[in-house]
Parts: sequence; structure tokens; C-alpha cells
Amino acid sequence: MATGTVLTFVIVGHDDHPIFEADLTSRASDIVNRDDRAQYLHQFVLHAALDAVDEQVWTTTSMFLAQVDNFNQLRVSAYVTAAHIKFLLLHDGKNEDAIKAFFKDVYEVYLKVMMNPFFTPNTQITSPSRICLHAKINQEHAKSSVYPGAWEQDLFVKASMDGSLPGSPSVTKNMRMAKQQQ
Amino acid sequence: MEFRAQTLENISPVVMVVASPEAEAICQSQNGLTVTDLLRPHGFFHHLSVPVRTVGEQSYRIKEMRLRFYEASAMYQPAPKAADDHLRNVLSNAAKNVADTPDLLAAIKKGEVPDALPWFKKYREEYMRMLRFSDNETFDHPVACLLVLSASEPNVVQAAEEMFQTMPLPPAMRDSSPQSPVLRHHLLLHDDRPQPAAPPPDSQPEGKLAQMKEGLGDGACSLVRINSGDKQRKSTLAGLWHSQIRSPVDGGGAGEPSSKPSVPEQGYGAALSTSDLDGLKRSMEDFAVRALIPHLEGKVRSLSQQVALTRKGFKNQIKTLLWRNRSATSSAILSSATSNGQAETPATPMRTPRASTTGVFSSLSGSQAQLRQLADAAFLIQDFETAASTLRTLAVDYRSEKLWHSYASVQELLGLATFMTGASMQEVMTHFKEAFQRFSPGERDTNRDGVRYATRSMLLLAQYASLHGQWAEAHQALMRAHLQEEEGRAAVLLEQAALCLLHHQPPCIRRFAFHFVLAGLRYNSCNLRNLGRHAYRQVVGVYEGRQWAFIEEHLHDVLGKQSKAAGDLHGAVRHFLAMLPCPRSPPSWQTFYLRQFLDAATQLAASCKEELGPLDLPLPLVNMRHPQVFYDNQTCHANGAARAVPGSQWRRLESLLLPGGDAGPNWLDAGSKANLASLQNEVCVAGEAVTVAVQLSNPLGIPLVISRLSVLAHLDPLEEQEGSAGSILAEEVEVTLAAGEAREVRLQLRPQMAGSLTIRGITWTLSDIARGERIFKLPAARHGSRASRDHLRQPKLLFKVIPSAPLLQVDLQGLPGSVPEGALVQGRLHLSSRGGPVSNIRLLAAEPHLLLDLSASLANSADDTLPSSAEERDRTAQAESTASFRLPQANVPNKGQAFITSWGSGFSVDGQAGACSWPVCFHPRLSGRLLLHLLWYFEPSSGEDLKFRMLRMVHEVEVVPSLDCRAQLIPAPDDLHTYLLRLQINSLQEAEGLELQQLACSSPGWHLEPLTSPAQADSSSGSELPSESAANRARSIGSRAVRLQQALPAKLQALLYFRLHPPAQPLPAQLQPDTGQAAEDAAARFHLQGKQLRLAQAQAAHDRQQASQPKQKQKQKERQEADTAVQIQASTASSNAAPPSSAPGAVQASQRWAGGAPDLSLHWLSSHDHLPGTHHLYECWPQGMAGVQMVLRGASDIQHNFAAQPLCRVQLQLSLRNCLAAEVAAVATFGSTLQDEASASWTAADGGAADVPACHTHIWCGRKQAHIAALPSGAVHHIAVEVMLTSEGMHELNDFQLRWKCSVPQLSGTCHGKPHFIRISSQP
Repeated sequence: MATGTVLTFVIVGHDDHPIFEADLTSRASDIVNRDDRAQYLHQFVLHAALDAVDEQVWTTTSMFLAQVDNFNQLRVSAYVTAAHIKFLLLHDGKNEDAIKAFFKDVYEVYLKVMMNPFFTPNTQITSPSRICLHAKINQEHAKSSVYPGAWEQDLFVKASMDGSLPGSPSVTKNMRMAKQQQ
Repeated sequence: MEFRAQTLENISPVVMVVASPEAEAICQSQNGLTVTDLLRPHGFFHHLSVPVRTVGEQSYRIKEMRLRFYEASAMYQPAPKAADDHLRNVLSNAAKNVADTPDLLAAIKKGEVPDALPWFKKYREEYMRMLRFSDNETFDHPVACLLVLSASEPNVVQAAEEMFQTMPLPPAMRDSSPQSPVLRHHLLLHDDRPQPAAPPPDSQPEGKLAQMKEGLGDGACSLVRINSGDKQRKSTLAGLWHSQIRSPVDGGGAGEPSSKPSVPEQGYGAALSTSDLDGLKRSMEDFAVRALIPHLEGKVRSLSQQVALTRKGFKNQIKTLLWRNRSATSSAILSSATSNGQAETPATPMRTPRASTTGVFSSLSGSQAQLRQLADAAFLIQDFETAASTLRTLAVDYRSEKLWHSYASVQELLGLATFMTGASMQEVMTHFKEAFQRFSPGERDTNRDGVRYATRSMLLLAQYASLHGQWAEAHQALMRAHLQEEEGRAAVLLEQAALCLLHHQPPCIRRFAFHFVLAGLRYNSCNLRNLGRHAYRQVVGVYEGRQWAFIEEHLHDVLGKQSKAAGDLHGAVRHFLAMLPCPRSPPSWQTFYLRQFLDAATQLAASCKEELGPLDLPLPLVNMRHPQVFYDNQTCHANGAARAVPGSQWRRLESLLLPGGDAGPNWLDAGSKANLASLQNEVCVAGEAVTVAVQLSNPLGIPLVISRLSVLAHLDPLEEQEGSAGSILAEEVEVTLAAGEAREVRLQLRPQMAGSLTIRGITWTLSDIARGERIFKLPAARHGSRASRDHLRQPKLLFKVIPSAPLLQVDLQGLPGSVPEGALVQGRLHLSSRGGPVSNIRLLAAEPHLLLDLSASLANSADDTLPSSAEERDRTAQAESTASFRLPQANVPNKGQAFITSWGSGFSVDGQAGACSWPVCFHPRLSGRLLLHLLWYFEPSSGEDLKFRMLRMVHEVEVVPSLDCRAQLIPAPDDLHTYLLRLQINSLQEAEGLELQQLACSSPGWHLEPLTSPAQADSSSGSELPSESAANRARSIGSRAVRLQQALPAKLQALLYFRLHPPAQPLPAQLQPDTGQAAEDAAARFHLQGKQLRLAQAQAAHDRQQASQPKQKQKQKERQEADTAVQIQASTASSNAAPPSSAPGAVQASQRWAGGAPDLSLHWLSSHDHLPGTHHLYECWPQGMAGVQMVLRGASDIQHNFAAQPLCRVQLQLSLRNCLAAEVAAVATFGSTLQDEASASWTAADGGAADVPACHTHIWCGRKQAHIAALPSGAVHHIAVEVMLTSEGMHELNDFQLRWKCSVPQLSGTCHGKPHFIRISSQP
């Protein structure tokens, strides 16, 4: 069981292709404490949330969709651009205003990336635009106390089936679930 | 099945069956069925119309009715562990047939989503069965007891009584109150098999029945005959029982005994005939209609009355309130005792129910128990309104007493009852949800028994919602249920919840996939690996190719390992393969994945008999869309550098070399479509290499070892030949790609015979184990304007292989990689051929830096580094030496220049033995990176397809700067003819010094001599050499060259001074036609070549300028040029005007000056490797030179006696020389009347007498102006003048000037006289 803040940001292009992924728990303490295997669960949750995004995107005229999905204590907030590029943030905090501001800032950076004439909606955003985006996100993250505290979270607890490699990502042996908050 | 029908089936009157051993034996021995099983299919009556009146005044009719038959000994709930094991077995059995399940993704595409997975229905039924006979519910309690006896019993009445007394009672009957006794019914079972001997009349079954009716009551007995069928025949009725017979639970319970008779060979019910079954059905219906329904009706009525007595009215309500607390306490105690008792219940708890002291069902005593019994009985007799209202009352009671478990049970049944009464969906679902919530244990609750009941209520809700189209509710219910369940059940619930998502519009496929993955995880963790694998495999398609790296990695990891464990090595290899490209994973994982894959591949290879086919290996990454193909056909390339040069540049050179612009066939020559198609294919030559360059990259952080990397190709021979399989030789390469490395690998293949060659892809072996193969996928041609261009740019993979043709092989030896600028390098050119003789060889060199001497004169003059055998000389002599320079043509764009050498048609090279060699001289005159483009033309003697071939070569040489050499030429001040040359030489060498050998003047008629008197050295630079010693060392050799013999260390400067004598007779400053003869050595030839190039470039520049200017501006431009020239020439001697050769009108200027400008060459020797070198200085134009030169000459030291003669008369001579190429007119003016010069008339013949100015110490005598009407080009004219000097001392004569004018071209100028000094001393 790992404790710590969860903050995973993904930009999903057309046909469910992730074009940018970033784990924003860049604080040193988080990195030390964080279980890398959680990335597996995070991707699954984010991918599954796309269904909810598709459902909710037609219910509002706003690009910010707020929280669209949750899995135990992991929440997914979404922001969908006019071209249906989806920004998803997986988090375990509740500060919606800060998340909205964060999305807005990312959208501005994304627009700059998009101005590249060679960029298509399915182009992977890599360096140096990626660096630019990273810098912006991290800066935002550091600036605001958006994501307070650390929640107990349920993660994929991976255990090696054959134990041939310590820490090898084999089968997820057990997944403990807390009772879903009603 | 409809939810209503299912509810009626699940909650229907229970009949407890107690059979005597004899009766069981009759049934089991012949049919493989217990008596209970025999009865079960006949408990459904659907054409009834029985009027019933229970509580109210209104009666209703029962149209259909079901009875449930249970053995008395099995009517208890199994222990939770046994139940869980049983359910797990259900899943294990399902896992065995998991391969039959349909592919869900394919079903989604078709729009045929199944409602549930095959094992879910079975699991749900069994789950419900495991929870029957619960403590809080009475609808599973027996309504009637059916005593089954054999008709062969001697005394049936007594036997029946004994049986009733000794039968093992289920707990439900222990505390049954006298108000609601269990209905008792007797069934006489007669074995209708033909008996060997006729039975006695009193043992006839009819007699027994009559006897029984007499003793036990008329309506409580019936007779059934069985086993009248043919036992030997295969049963046709077995289907009746298949859905009814349940597998027993360990330890019994849940309505089934712990063991069952085995299935007979002929199937169930082999000895039963249709008439047997009809009789059975008839008697059961009689029993239900005549006994059971009235009994239930009466029971409901009596219970209702009791309830009315105890609960209705003010008095009873007060009593209830008073007694509630006490009964609640006792109920709670008993309830807890129940749960404890259940937990500690042994495997067969109900064997001796009478002896049991546990308080099972005790909570059902008292008024609340009556209410519950009333509700259940009303439900059983289908009076749902009564049931619902009673349950509501009960719910309020339980709620107020906080008996949550009983309350939840009531809510659950209330949900069903309200559904049956037709309440709204919302109300029904609310009851189920309330039940779930109350069943669920709290977070701190250690007793988790309620979880199973909570799940049951959610299963009911999900079924209800899904059958009514509320898939979202169903999904939510199942998700809520799975959260607190154990692994296997949670997985089943998750799977079902996921299926609910597929019924959304549009289907939530991504969430469905996530749920399936979670279900798979749970299956795996409880060792139901088949089901786990099934769940994963169903959803791989949702994630595949979407680039969610972690997800794909996880799926393939799990699936690969499970496939391997299940023995499916093909599947394991496939999944491990898909995991290999994982650039984000740490290197330790990447190593592990690779090893895992290679292990699986090794095992697979070992297990397979035949060799494995190639895999679609994702490592290394290969750019299959843009391979590059290099090949030779008519055009051959000697080295890779030649391919790097753009084709357009080569084609321009080829057009210079080919006689008629013959660039091969085009589409106009094709004639037919087939020919055109063959023309469009690329052509290569058999036996010559076709090189395919592919980009390989390693995305991982670990090195990759790739061996046996080669091209996959196919060759269709033109004619069928033996052994055509080995007709391609493909080179195999080994590559090790470091972490993250990307590299271009060039792979060769050689088609061995003519035909049609197709390059398909590449193949390789990863880590010497796994063989991979990839096929090239060229991007499809696009339509539109860019399509044709794209098509041209694409590499061709289809080749027409023509028969092998001879190929010229050229070896250029001796060219170093780096040379100093201006060096002369001797090399050697070897020509040989492969595959036959070639003839008519021609060489085109695009750069002027290479000189090939076909006459081998260089070879003779050079030292012994150039061996030349006699034979070779003979061959050389045979070669037609027609080396010539071909000047750039005006119509060749882009400053095309080329030097063509031809060996003539009679010369041929044949094979390696007939190789020839010639000396070559290389002389770079520009610093920097130098590319030598050489283009060879030759004609193969054999091979019909190729009339000629071209060989392209490129040599790259790095030329480093050596010297910066600048010459400055000025007219000699004391001489009208000669010039002074100042040579400034800067060494640009970094480390090595040079030795200056000699300076030569190559212009005809010019002579060179070193200055004997030391010239004024420029001492501003500290690093320069003393020019005096340099001048001393310079020795004249002949008149054309001066030997220097001076060392010039690195980074230093030397200044040298010479006097230049122009030719005596003016020569036309044009290219001498016979200058080639004067070229004595290579340096001279290069010098001449440079001169020619220079002239050609100047001419070309001039032509371009002419062409670019409109004609009407031409004259104006010329006039401006002339004016500019005059201004330059009229300026003073100190002006640093640019040399005329660098002016735009260099050609005109060269024609303007009489003697032209000299060309110089400086020879040096590198001190390090004694490499000779030459720097060339072309057209050193004199600076500060007027059109007409003049010098005043005369005595300079005179003794005069002024006492005897007051004036000293000195005779002087003014010499003029016309330096222009045209005739000039000149006017020389003496004296101080220079202000008159503007008004001076060119036509005046004589001037007037001169006034003697008082202030001057000298007076010009005679004419003040001298006119020369015409001075021819180069001519010298002398004017005698006199000057009178009046005093002793030094006199400076500078007040004279010359104005000149030239008509064609229009030039004019003025030159002031240089001072002439006369010293007069007094004569003693």
C-alpha cells in the first residue's frame, strides 16, 4: 500500500491515443514513497474514464467537465477542447477550482504546441514542446496548493508470480478494495 | 425467464418428502432417481383455476402453482465454507468449457451482446440455493409432509405412523405451533414391473390403498405406479430431470442429500413409462389442489386471526409496546445464538434435530414471527397484497427494534412482493437497496455473514433491473455487491457488471474492458486461471494499438505467463513478443522481458518438430516505409560518396560526356505496354550488388544482438534453369545495437542470373534465438499534383535483372586524405575490368585539380615511385593520346567546366591481367573540403542490353591552407620600361615550414631579375625575415625564373623584391596558341590550365553581364567605365587602386595596356615531407601607372663658375613612353604657368616667350609647351629641354607636367613630373 498524492495527467488525442502523459507527483518525497506499479492502475482508470467523458461532453457547453469518473478514491477530472482532445487528470484531491485553472493553463500551452504546422491531433507531444508543457504544469503545481494531503489509495499491488526478478511487474496478485464511498 | 415466473418458482410451497427405504429402492434401482427427484418435474401446475379467499372478503383464483420437493434430511442451510466450496466448483467446471464462449468484441460489433456469461446463470442459481432455509425466512419451511411408502409394505398404516414418528425433522418443524400443523399426505409407490409370480390378492396395491385410506383418511393417500416401462431401452425422458437435479454440497443441505445415486447407463427414468408419469402428475395435482392449497388458505386465515388478536386494537398495541423491549432482547440473544450456532455447526447438523438445543428459528417465535409466517404464507398462496402489507408492518417493528438482519430480510421479500403487486420500479429497487444496506456488515463488524445475503439482494435487483432494461441500475447494483465479496464471487459480479455496460447506448466498451481486467485479476488471485485468462483475452482488442503502454504491458505480461503455464507456448511467445518494445521500463525489466521471451521461444522451438516460422519481431525498430536501394545498371557507382552526389549534378556532367545527349531509352521508345512496364521497372545487372539500406534503431536501454541480418528477395529467372533456388546471394550481417542507438545498415544481395527480382523485406535473428521477418511497406502513391513526384521519389523494389555485363574498375592510388593548398601530388591510375573487356574509355573530370598524362611523360620524369614495365609503355603508346581541355560551353548552365580525356576507340582493358596504369598529378588550388568528381564512360564488349556504361567516382580531399601570396607591381621610377615587383608571402601553415624554391614568370617576353640593391623593407611586422638576406640569396636563373632557396617557417612572413622587364615588342595580350608546348612539367601545365580557366571565367562573366543588360544601356555603361578608368589612372601614384584585372572590364583592360600583365608562379617545397607545391599569380597589373610615362634625364652634378657666367645652362631630355595599346596625343608643359593648362590648346603649334619669374632659381628655356601629335603604342619620344640655373646648391625641377589623350578608346589623363634634382657646385 502506498501513500501519497496521486496526480497523473494525460492528453488523449483521437481514437483514444494518449499523446502526452505526465506523472506530476514531482516532489521528491512523493517519488520515494510512490509505488511505480500504481501507474498500471492509473492508466486503466484514465482509459475507462474516456467513456464517461464521451457521455458527459454533450451535456454541457463548457470545456471543463469537472469530475467525470471515479474509482475508489481516485477521481478523474476532464477538459475537452473543441477538437475533442481530452485532458484528463487523475487525482485524489477535491479542489475543483484549482483543477479548472490548471486545465485552462494547460490548454493555453497546448494551443501553442498545436500551432506547430506539423502537429496533428495524434502526434505524440515530445521534447521540446513536452518540456515546455512539463515546465508549465510543474510550475502550476508548485504554485498552488491544489492537491492537499495524502489519501490512502488502493493500488495494483503487484507481486511476481515466479519471483525470478525482484520487483518484476508480473501478475497483479491482489487488489485490495476499500468500500466505495457512497 | 421472466422475473415474475422466477420469483414464483423460487418462493413456492415446500413439500418435505420422507420416503421409506423400500420406496427409495424401487425408484433408485430402476431409474437412478431418488423419490424427491422423481417428484420434482411434476410440481408445476399451470392450468389450474382454484378459488381462494384468504384475509379479505374478495376471493381470487390461482392459475398456476409450483411445489418444491425436498428430502427431509436435506432441508437445512449448508455451512458457509461448504457453500463457498460448492460455488467455487461451479466456477471450476465452467472454466473447463471456457473456450466455447463467444468473442464479446465481435458480438458487440454485430450488436448481439449476451445478457450474461454462460456460467453466471448457473452460478446465480446455485448461489440462491445455498442461501435457502435461512433463519429469518419461513417460505422455505415445509408446508406439507409427503410420506412415501412402498406398496409392498405388509402393513402400510402402521408403517406410515412409524415413519412419521421417527423421521428426521428439519429444524423448521421443531417449533411449529399447533395452530399451523404440517399437512400430512401419503403416497403409495407400486413397482409395476411384471412379477415372476402372481402376487397374493391382499398384496394388490389397490387393496393397500383402500387399507390406507381407511386408516389415515380418504384424502391423505394416493397410489402411484412406476417402473412399467422397458428398462433395457434408452431413456427418452431423461431431459425432464436434467434441469432439476442439482449436485450435492459437501455435508449435504440446501435441499440435496450429501450423496446421490449415480447416473444409470440408460439415463434417468429408463424404467418409467408415460403412463407412470401421467399417474404421478395426476396424483400430485390432486394433492396440491385438494389438500395443499386449502391447507395454506386455512393457515393464512388462522395466522391472520392470531395477528389480529395480538396486534390490532388499542389494548394490543399497548401490550405490544410493553412487551416489545423484552421480546427484542430475547430475539437479539437468540439471533446471536443462531449465528454462533451456525458458525459452529458441524457438517451434518440436522441428523438429530430433536436433540438439537440450538435456537435455530427461535427468532420466529412471538408476534413478529407470526407476522413473518403470515407474510410468507400469503406470498406462497399468491396473496401478494396481504404479504406486502404484513411485511410493511413487520419492517416497522424490526426497524424500531433495530433488528437489522431480520429487517433486511423483510425488505428483500417486500421488494419481491411489491413487484408482484405491480408497484413502481423505483419502489421495488428501493426495497432491494435497503435490504442490501442493512444486510451489509459495518466496517468494524467482524461477523460478515450478512455479506452473502446482501449480495443476494443485489443479484435480485440486478436481475430485476436488467430484465426491465435498467442496465445502469443493474451495473451499479453488481458493482456495489462485488466490493465486499470474496475474490471469485467478486470476479463473477464484475464480469456481469461489465456486460451491463455493453447494453448502454453507445456501449461503454472502455469501462467494460476495465471491469473485465479487474475480474481477471480476481480470478487469477483465487486460482481460477482459465477464467482469468478468458477475461483478459476478451479485452485485449480494446487496448491493442492504442499506445497505452502500461496497460498493454500488463495485459501481455499476464496473458503470456498464463499461456505458458497452460502449455500454450505459441500464445506465450506471442504475448511476450508484444511486451518487448517497452522503452519506458527500466533496463532491468527490459532485460527480464527479453529473457522471458527468448526462453519461451527456445521452449517452443524445442517442442515443435518442424522449424518455426519467422516471427513479427518488434525489435529492433525497422523503418519499413523508407528503405533505400542502391544498384548499378547503365550507371555505376565506384563508391558511396558518388551516390551521395545529387543525380542532377551527374546528369549535367553526363550530358557533357555523351556525344548526342544519349541518356538511355525513354517511354517513347517503348512501343508496347509490356515494354513500357519493363522500362518502368528498375534495371540491375546479374552478378552485381544491389544494396538495401535500412534504418534500424533500438528503443530499449539494453544492447540488442542481431545476427544473420539479410534481405528477403525473390528472383524469377527468365528461363527455367536448374537450381534457380540459389540464384540470389544475400549477404548476412551481424549488428549489435547499443542502448538507444539508431543506425543505417547496408545489406547486399547479388542476383546471379537474369530475370525479375523482387525485394520483399528483411530477416534477422534476435540474440541467436528468435528469427524475425518484416516486409517492406512502401507508402501508397497519393493522387493529386504531388502524386507523380512522390512516385518518383519512392524506392523501387521490383527489378528487371539483365545478364551480366563487363564493368570498368578504376583504382586511383596515391591521393592523400589531406594536402596543403597548392601541393603537387603524384598518384597513379589503374584501370582494369571485371567480366570482360571494355573499350572506348573516356574520363570526365569536373574539377581542374587532377591531371592525367597519357603520354606518361610524368612517369619518366618522376622518380622510381612509378614503375613502368615495357609492356605497359607499349600499351600506353598505343593509346591514342588525345588529352585535351574542353572549355566550358556557354550553354552549359551553372558554370559548368569539365576536362575530358579520351583513350580512343582502339584501346580496351580486359580483366585484371590486362590492367593499365598511368601517372596522375593532383594539384589543389583552393583550400577546404574538395570533392573530385570523375565520370567514366566505357563500352562493354559483350552484353546486348548495355551499349555503354557510366562509372561515377568521387574522391574527397581535405585541402589545408599553406601560403598567402600577394604581388604588388609598380612602374620603376627611374626607367620607362621596367617594373618593380614586391612579393609578400605569408605562411598559413600551422606547424610545418616551407622552403621557397623559385619564382618564375611564365608570360612570354617578360624577364625577371632580383633587385641587387636592398629595397626598403617594411619593418612594421616583427615576424618578417630580413629582406636583405632574401634578396642576396635570390639568384637569377636564366631570365624567366629566380631561384630563391629560402626557408619560410610556419606563421611567418617574407617580403621579396624583383625587377620585371616587359617584352621589348608589345605582344597581343591574348592566349598564346602554342603555350602547351612551353609547358615543361606538370606545374607549368596546371599553370596554363589555370590561366585558361581564368580567361574563360572572365569571358563568361562578361558575356553574362552583356546578356543581362538591355542594349540601349550598353553605350552608356561603356562610357561610364571609361570615365572610371580615367579617374583611376589620373590619380596619384600613391593611390591603391585595384588592379585592372579584377575590374569588370578585365578583357578590355588587358587590351588597353601595351605590355599586358605578367603571370608568376612560386614554387616551394614542404619541409616535412618534401612535397612540392606551386602558387600561381595571374596578371599582376601594375599599380599607379599612367597611360604615358615620362622621365626627365640629364646631368645631376654640375660645376659652374657663376662669377664668369651668371647663368648655368643645363641640357635635359624628357622621355615619354606610351604604355597604352593605342596611339595617344600628348602635351608637355614646363614652368609655373600651370594655371593656363585648362586653356591650353591641343592644336597650338608653339607657345609664346616665357616670362622669367623672379622667385624661381631656375628658368625653362625655349618652348614652354611641347606637342606630340601622335605617339604610337609602346613608342618612346624624347624632348630636349634646357633649363637655366641661377645659383649654387641643390635645385629641384618639378614644375612640368604632361597631358595626354587617346581617341580610341576615349581616355585622357595628366601626369605630373617626378622631381629631378640638380646639384651645382662652384667651379674653383
